[in-house]
Amino acid sequence: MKNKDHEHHDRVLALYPVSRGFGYALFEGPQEPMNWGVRTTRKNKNKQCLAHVQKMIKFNHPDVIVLEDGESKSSFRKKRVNELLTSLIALAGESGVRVATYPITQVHSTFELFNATTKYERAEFIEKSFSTIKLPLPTMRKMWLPESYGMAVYDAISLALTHYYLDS
Amino acid sequence: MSLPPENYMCSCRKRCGLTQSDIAYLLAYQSQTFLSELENGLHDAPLHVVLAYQTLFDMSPGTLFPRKALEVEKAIRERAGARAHELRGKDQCASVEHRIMLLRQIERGQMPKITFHEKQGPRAP
Repeated sequence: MKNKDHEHHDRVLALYPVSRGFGYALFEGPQEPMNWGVRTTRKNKNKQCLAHVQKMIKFNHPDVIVLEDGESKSSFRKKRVNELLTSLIALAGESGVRVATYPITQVHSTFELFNATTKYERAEFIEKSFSTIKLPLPTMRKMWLPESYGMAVYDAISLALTHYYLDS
Repeated sequence: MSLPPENYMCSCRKRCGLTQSDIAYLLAYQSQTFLSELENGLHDAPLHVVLAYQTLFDMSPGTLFPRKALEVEKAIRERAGARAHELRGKDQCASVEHRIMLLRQIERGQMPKITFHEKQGPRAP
C-alpha cells in the first residue's frame, strides 16, 4: 500500500523458524506491518516450511528476506533449523530476493536501546508500538513451560525491525 | 522496488483486527473458505467483494489488487497502441484523428480523466 512515507522502504519478509514451523512478518516500512502469523508444520518440517515460504515469496514479492544468522557463535539453533536456514537462503537466491541475516545478539542489542532486554519485553514493546498488530501478548513464560505459540510472530517482527534499524 | 503483492486483502483484515469469519459474515458467505482462497489469490475477487473492501477499508480496487492493476494497465496501453496503429490506415476525419490522439496518450500512460457530477441517490437513514 503505497504512501509517501514508506515508498522508499524495502518490502521485508522476516522468518523465524520454531519447533512447530515458523513465525513470519511482512513489512513495507518500519511502521507498516502488512502481514504476520505462524505457519505450522508437522512431518517433513523443513520441506513444508520451504513450500510455505515459496508461496509467500510468489505472493508478496519481498525485496529482502530477513533471517537469523544460524552460523554465528551466539546461535543456539540445532541442526534441523540450521539446515532450514541454509535452504531458505538458497530459495531466496533462486527467487532473486536479497537475504539479510542477523545474529540473535544483534537483535538483542538493537532492542536494548529501547529498554527491552528479554523476549517478553521485546514482545511488549512491539505490542505497544504497533496498534495495528492486534495479537494477544503471550503470558510471561515460566521456566517449566514451553514457549508460547504466538511468540514466533514477535520474534519475526523483532528481526524485521532490527533489519530496518540497522539498514537505515 | 520489486513487483507489488498479489493483493492486500489479508493485510486490511489483520490491520483492523477482524477475523476471516467476521469478514465472511459481513459478505454474507456461509464460511470463510472462499474468503481464504481470495486472500491467497486463488480466485479473482467478485465485484461485490471489491466494493465491500472499498466500503470497509476505503481501499480502491487498484490499491487492493496492485499486481492485477499493473497487468491491466500494461495490457490497455499495449492495445491502445495497436488500436491507434489500426486507425491510422482509415479515412482521417477529425473524429478519427481525435481518437488516435487519445489512444496514443493512453499508450503513453496519460489516461483521459472524466469527471461525473454524482447524483445524490437515496441514502440509508
